[in-house]
Amino acid sequence: MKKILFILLILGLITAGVGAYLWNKPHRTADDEKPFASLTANQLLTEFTTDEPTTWAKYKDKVIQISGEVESISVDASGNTQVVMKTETEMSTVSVTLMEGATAPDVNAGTMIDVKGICNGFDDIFGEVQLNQGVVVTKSKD
Amino acid sequence: MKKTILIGVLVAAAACANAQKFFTKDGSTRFFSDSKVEKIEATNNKTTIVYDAQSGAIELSVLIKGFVFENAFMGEHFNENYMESDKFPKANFKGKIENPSAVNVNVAGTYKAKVIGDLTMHGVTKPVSSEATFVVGGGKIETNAKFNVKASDYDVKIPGDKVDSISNVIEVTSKSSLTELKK
Repeated sequence: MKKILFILLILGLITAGVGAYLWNKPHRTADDEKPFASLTANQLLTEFTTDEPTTWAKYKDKVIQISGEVESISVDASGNTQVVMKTETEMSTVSVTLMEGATAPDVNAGTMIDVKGICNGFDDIFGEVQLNQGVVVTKSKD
Repeated sequence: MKKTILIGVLVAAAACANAQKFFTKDGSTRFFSDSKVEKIEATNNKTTIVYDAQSGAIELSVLIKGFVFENAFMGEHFNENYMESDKFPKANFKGKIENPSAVNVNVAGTYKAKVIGDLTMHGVTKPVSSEATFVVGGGKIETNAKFNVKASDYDVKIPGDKVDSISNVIEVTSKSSLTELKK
């Protein structure tokens, strides 16, 4: 009898532990992962504008490292830093929202930057590839 | 002569107004599910909106994977089990202000207007409407709208054991700050 109670207690603890783990599981970020691909903002945009379904299948949920020229750095409504990179197409951009608590890069517009993030897809109104949970990889200051 | 100039200026001003479009790529879309068991909310701060001031046309687009939940586990369920975002990565709204003249983008002020149109998500398109506020001033238009959608209308199935924790009626809030689109 005691044995059964003991087993039940252990099972209960395991269930509670798994539940608590799942509940508190941290967000996946690009910080912990090696990039699946590394390319320029313009290359990434071109892939999406050329064949969106194939490119989506290739990059969805993947960590991608992008290098590009900073168009703007801003803070979004949730307080996270957003790095927007230019492409050769006017109005079309690649944006990476940095992970919560990530340090904002101290660079000006026009600087080349390397940022990695998780690919959320392509918004076709203006043509913007969006990534989030990102981090700045390197930065060069002029 | 003076009259001619005045008319000329007015015509030029009207032509400018006709061409006016406003946009953002950083609008916020938040949804909220209030149930007996728990409150669930998620926010997407990368909502693209284009508003044509002349016709009143409004287009909005948002990537499903861009919604961030407080709890990572909920986000996974949302994407995999409910929205199937691998298959349906985007949601969009195409519509207009019912009475476009209700908002004057050239005069600062707060305008209320009804926005009507079609919302597409999870592969389903349904008409929606919402009262919206447009605050014009300082070269910007701040927009604010809140409306409800039913998960069941969009073929989003809430399994039996989750009915108590996820509401079928989801409150959607849209907030943005639009600036003029210069071409």
